[in-house]
Amino acid sequence: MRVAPKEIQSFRDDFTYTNSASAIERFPFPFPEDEYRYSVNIEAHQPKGGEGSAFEHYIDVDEHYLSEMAERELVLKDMPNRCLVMPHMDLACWEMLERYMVSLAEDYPEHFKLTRDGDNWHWENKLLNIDDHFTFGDGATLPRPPLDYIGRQVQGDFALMDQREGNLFMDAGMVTCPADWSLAFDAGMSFDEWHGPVPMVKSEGIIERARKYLMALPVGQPVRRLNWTLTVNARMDTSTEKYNEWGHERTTITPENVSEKVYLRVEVQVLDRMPRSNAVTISIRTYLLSLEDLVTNKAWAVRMHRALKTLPEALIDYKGLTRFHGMAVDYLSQFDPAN
Amino acid sequence: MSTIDQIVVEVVAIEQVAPMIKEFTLQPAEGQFTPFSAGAHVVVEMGEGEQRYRNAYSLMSDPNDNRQYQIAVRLQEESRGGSIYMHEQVAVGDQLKISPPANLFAPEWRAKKHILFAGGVGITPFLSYVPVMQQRGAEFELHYMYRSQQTGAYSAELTEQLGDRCCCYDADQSSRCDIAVVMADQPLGTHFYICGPESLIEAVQATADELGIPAGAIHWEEFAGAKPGQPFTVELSRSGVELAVAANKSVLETLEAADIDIPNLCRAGVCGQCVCDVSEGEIEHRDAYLSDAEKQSGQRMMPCVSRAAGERLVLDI
Amino acid sequence: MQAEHVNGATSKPVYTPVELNPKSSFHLFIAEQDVPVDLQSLYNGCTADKAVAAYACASDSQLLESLQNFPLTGTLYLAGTEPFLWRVTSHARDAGLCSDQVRLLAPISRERHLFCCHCHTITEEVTYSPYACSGCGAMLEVTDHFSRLHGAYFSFQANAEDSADMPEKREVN
Ligand code: HEM
Ligand code: FES
Repeated sequence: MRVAPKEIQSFRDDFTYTNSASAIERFPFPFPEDEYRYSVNIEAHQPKGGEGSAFEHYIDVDEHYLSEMAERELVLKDMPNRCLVMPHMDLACWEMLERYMVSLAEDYPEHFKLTRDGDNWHWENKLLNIDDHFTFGDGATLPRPPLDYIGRQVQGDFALMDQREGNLFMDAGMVTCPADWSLAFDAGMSFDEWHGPVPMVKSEGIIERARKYLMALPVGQPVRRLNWTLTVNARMDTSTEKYNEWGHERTTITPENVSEKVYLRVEVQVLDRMPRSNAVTISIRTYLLSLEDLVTNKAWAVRMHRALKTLPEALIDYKGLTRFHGMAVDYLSQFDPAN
Repeated sequence: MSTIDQIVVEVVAIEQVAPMIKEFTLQPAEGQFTPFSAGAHVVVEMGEGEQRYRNAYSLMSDPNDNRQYQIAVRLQEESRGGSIYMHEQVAVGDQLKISPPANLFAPEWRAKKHILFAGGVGITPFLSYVPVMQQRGAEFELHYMYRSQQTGAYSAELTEQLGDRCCCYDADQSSRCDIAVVMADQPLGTHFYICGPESLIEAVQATADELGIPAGAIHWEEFAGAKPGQPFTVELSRSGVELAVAANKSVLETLEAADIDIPNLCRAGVCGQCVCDVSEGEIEHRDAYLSDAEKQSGQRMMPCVSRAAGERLVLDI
Repeated sequence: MQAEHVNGATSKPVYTPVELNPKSSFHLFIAEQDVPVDLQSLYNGCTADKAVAAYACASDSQLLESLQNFPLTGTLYLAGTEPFLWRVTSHARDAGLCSDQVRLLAPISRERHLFCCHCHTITEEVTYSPYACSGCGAMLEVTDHFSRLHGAYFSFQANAEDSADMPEKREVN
């Protein structure tokens, strides 16, 4: 059964965010093995897991749609430069808008409708009560620039990469719920540069292989990969911009509250080639699940325990888990029969 | 989810555009083509069984026009047969399979000026550059070298359309391009693109080097991943099973077809999941995962992309 | 985002010794302030048949002008502080130079520009960490994650997790 969008919940202040039983069931659990190590974990972005799965469609619209869109509005109102587009990325942004509108309308006809007559387009988003007529490719006919417009209607962060000089450059994006990085700072960087802070990957050639692979990505063959971290409280906007506001929450974890305050944060990243501009787009879709909810699935609890327990020190540091990693492992150990 | 693996296309027109070159116009058997970017290519799969070929061809139609794609194929007599097949076997109304477009030869849009060197059928990617460059108001020159008794397609149309931005050199009329003269005294920000025989690529590179033009301003077409494979046999040492790997199938696909599941993710030689131990046979490594030393040792391979260099491989499965 | 690992980020530029490009028909030398020895010796090494120009203490508008007539076969050599090197590189790229036409001498000082990721202000002349942001006043942890576009290093509030836990002052180089 498909999860229908529910009433707005908050990802800040009183943190009213919750997952329903079916949202827990469809959570994209990220650990294929008991040990987690970095790898080029890229696979074809094809449907997996059947109806209702987070991988059923190109874009996953779930019960948190309205909440995430409301949260995004708050972030952009406060910091409009969380959406940045260099002028040469305009065509790529239109192509991303096209890709998203076409697939949303195809996959969720009850919520979205796209009518096209040449370049005259009519877009209806019934969830957000949006109904606009515009000319494809003509920015003056949309209420906002194309990325800003479509980005406020799709869950997840987005970045668009220009491909030139044997590299990919992050020249546009809308990033309101990143796992501790800053689009304003990383803008204009190459693939290798923006991955500069990631530990352990250089010697293993992971970043270089991933870059080469992405540069040869053909049109119409999107791929996905998962990434994860742990977040204290159901906070979507863990940007470095706001680290001075959320960082202290890492000290609030105790053995008593760890299961309820610590969330597994999973990013489903979908990478796709835009046909005309040759740009590569990435959508970074974040899912949050409290440990308390996670352990309702026994297999996940065991896996999670082992993956966390064997996580290399460098990754614990880099992911910012140092202050509560031990408490999370201790809590999860009770579900692992090996203990 | 709308992912495209291979696209079935119908050949809707074939035209002999030069003594050795045929132009094929393709339309999707169903649905729509995507637009593409200037310089993109597709890999065409043709034929069946023993006679199956996969060749990469630049798309030469207008990138904004997604009603049809066009490619041009030069008859290569010495080749193993893909172009012969296209010239002799393919007729209007036939179906072929193509890969979705990929681009390894996009224009450097930051350039202030573009100079295009085409040799023979190497004109094709530039035919997709021209409409986009015109649309963007980019400054460019096309230098087109050919032998009118063999190649030389589109020279009249290009001259008419581009005027003095197109210079044609017909070797059969003893007209030659003085590359050094073309390249000398170009303004800052000029980029040079070459599509044609190896000798032309080398000549432009050598001239650039001599003149002190930065290597970063020279671009040439490189087809990756389009190499066709030879059929061979894999033997699985633990079960003794022997399987025939067809020219158009990977080892991984062949194993899967025999219900032998190997972990895999990317199916493109980068993730490392599918690694297999090899106990006998020479490997043609095509992956980006194994280190050079591992490749040299010949003891491991990535069955999603790599193949046998000879007729047989023994895997330790 | 722990400092130990952000330090050593691969985005930090590595400056290798610069040689004259023997193929170039024209060499342009630009020093932000006085001409350092290394740049001077490159300049002295130019043979008489090559055109040469040099600017010291150049303003940005002079620089842009000097790039106007720069030939396709020329090489640009830059000496100065790190933000200067990358600012001029960016002008040069806009003017049409390829990356292999621009050669950077190691920065003349270890002072850094710091990008405060909270208020996006750039603080200049930073030599130690943590360092007070000239925009929002936060004490910033200095990292090695470098943006060529901003000519600055990434930084974030050093004691954001625990206000009592301010890292010890250290020199950055
Ligand atoms: C082109 C699309 C991509 C973008 C825009 C992107 C962006 C990023 C960013 C901004 C970070 C955080 C770096 C920091 O600490 O400042 C990151 C981390 C990382 N990226 Fe990517 N990335 C992309 C593709 C990939 C791919 C294809 C791989 C495959 C191996 C990859 C592997 C990683 C890893 C392993 C990390 C560390 C994550 C962690 O431990 O939390 N990235 N990426
Ligand atoms: S499946 Fe990824 S390397 Fe073979």
